[in-house]
Amino acid sequence: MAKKFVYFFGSGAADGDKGMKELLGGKGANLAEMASLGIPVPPGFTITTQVCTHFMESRSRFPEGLERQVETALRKVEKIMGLRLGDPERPLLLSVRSGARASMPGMMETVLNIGLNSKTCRGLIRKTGNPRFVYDAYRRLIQMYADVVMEKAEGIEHEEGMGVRQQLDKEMERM
Amino acid sequence: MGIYKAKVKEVLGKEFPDDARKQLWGGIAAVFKSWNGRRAVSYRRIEGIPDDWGTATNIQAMVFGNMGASSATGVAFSRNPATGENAFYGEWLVNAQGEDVVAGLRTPNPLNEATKSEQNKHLPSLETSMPRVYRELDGYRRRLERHYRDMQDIEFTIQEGRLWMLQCRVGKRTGTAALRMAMDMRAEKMISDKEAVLRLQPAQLDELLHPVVDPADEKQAQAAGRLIAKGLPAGPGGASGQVVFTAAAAVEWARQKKTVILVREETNPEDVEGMRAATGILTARGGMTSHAALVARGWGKCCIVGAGDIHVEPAAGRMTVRGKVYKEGDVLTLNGTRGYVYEGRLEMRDATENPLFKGFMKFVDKYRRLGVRTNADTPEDARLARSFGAEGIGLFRTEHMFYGKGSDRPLFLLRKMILAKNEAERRKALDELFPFVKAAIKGTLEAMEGYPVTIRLLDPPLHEFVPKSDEKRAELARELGVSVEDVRRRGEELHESNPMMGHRGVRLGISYPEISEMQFRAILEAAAELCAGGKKCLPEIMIPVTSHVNELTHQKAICRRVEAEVRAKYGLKRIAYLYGTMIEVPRAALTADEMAREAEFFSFGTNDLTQMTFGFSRDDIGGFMKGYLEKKILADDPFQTLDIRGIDKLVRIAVEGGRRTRPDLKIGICGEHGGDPESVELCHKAGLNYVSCSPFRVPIARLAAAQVAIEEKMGAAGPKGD
Repeated sequence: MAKKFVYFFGSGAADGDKGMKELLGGKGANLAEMASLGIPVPPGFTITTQVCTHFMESRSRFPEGLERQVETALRKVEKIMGLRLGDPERPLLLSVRSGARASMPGMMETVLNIGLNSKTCRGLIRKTGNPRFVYDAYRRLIQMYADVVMEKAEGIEHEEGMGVRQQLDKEMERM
Repeated sequence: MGIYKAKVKEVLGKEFPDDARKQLWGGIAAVFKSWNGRRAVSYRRIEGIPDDWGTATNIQAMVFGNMGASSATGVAFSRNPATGENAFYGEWLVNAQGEDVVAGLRTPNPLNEATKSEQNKHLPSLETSMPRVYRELDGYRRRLERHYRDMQDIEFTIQEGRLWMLQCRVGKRTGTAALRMAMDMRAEKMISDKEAVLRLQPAQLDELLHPVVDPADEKQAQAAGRLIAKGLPAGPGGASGQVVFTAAAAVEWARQKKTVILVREETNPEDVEGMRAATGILTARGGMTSHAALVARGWGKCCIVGAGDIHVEPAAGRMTVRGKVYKEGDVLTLNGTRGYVYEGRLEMRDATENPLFKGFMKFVDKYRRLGVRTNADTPEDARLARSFGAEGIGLFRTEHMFYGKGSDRPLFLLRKMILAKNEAERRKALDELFPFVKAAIKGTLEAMEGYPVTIRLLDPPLHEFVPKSDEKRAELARELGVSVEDVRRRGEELHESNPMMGHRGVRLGISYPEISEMQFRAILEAAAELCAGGKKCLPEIMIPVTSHVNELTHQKAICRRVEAEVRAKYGLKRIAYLYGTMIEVPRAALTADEMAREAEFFSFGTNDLTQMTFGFSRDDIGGFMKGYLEKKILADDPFQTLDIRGIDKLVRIAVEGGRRTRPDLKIGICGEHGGDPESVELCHKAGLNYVSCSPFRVPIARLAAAQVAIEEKMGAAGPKGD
């Protein structure tokens, strides 16, 4: 059997627990613990610190089998929420957050609202009846994604104040 | 949105991915990569977090606190993290996302009615705005706290009336709060006595024993650019006052009821009175074991040393800090716990005596094996240390009576003795000095109420006491019936090029046995008189700077002869005392089995042992220690935290060798390390009988000793839980 890289939590159950900080990080271990206690946490899953180590050692490649485990866990989240990632009518949105063994407040990256695009946007507006909220969420995703994933993670460095986040802020002011 | 995406393409040359799965994997990769981001790497350096731990990535369904009036987000603590009060404490914002509360762009609302403050009493609480959700949240708070058996730091989001918990973890807290929570949770039977002892960091006790700079005010002062210099945090707590540049001015201003900060290039023993009078001490040079630092810590006085940006000109009555001039009387504030110097006055928080503290320390003592003594040179210090729970004195320095208040006459007599040109002259001066030494020792033995007192024979090189001023030289010349020029010349003859390794400690007693003899007699007569008066006392006579067993044999013969004479004089069958040595020269540690043939106890002088083992002059480390720490040559300043690889090894060799010869050998430590929690742990593990430290550090050492004993037992019983 392939090594377990993904630990699911949500809806009163969890694969991990609070004793697994080394593998799941502090945040992940405590989310699993809360889920097991039946406390409402948004369903989700933790990818282990071992995957991070592998990723760094193998020049940014994920280990074999990770994708399938992520898909399986994602399916569970979709089922609990009654939503699907990328579904134009009932889209699931995701947060992706870091969580190390020791608390490192604000030192690593977070991406929110993953799953929004031109199609899911329209579906979400129909569902919520709140276009203002949806466009704000979409704008936040584009800005955060461009900044964190497309710029910082790629090692692109701009001159002070010329990064994509600041330029999008300026664009926003013009709009 | 089209324009927005076009801008992304324009700046980065790539399209924002529309595909949801591509976004997900991009996000996961970016989070993993951020483990090696610049901010994360430098944070790990500072906090000592290993690079190979890696981070996990958490993927969760989004919940939104910004979907209108029935949505909200907040952070909360299951108990107040500043005071420790058992009250649900937190902040929340309606129609907002998680980051908004932390970012401080909007003023957050109070969680409930009970914890409203002056600043937010007009704002709506969650308790009244969403009572059902608040009750649910309060239920989770209780449940999580019971489950984790510790205070929880919680993040939550409410999406259209539905509560979601986003995070929980054991919350950070102040020393005051840590103490209160430990005592309360113990009373609530949530945790055991042992766990309560482990809940307080020894360093947090500092905060409970000294007034501190108000953290909020300090933050404001930093933002206003009032932080003018940084030095080493030598004496804890905070102090505000007017600056003076000489010890005499400090004494004079203090007499006029002014609060002063004494600022010196560096301090020397002659500044002691001024240091005593000042509320805080600041020096431009010196390390953590420099004179100023040692003295300040001993008194629990706020002190910063080695603030290199400061240049003091006492004659001109001013100091300059990177070009800016401060005159005598200008106000500065010191944060001695952090080593920060501020311009102007900052608010202090009074660390009034906490009744919980006494109760806490009482059951701390149930668990420790290691004894805790104090370093004290006066009956006042001895009494203070007793009130902090010291079980004896591990270091009483006879030379203290030659500094500070009331020292004029004994110092004069000592100088007379030093400058004597033959034994007859020297004996005459010693006879005159004798009653002063005996009185000082007797007072301290009495103050310790039967607890042991380790008395170290005269330790510093004699030239330290030679008068430097013409006036003092003239006075001495008159008394000795010689010329001023004679006095000056004799002083010069005592000059050594490396006095720390020169004519000091036991070497004085070998050259001039009558100096040791006088001290033995003073100690034993003091003990005999107390004994005859029906009082208990236990002096331990300690020979300093020994490196060879023959030194101990030589001095012991004198000691035994004096003992017989004193017993005869007072008609006593025996006088209870121990004869032992300081272990502060590496050779003494290496030949401990031989040293223990003569010595009934050892006391590690870890300052000198560190100095001589590393070959670092402790008065000169200011020049290179900073670089050593920055470049990671050394992980810690070895004068602060006992060096495990080297010094600890020497300590273990000495303990093992000494006990082989004399199984009941009493072993302690009397360097400043005695109050450092990590060093206390090493001393416990090395099997020492006690540690000795300055009075204000006694509670810290007691707690550290209890924690290492508890952890040792828990470790033997298996791994501990969360």
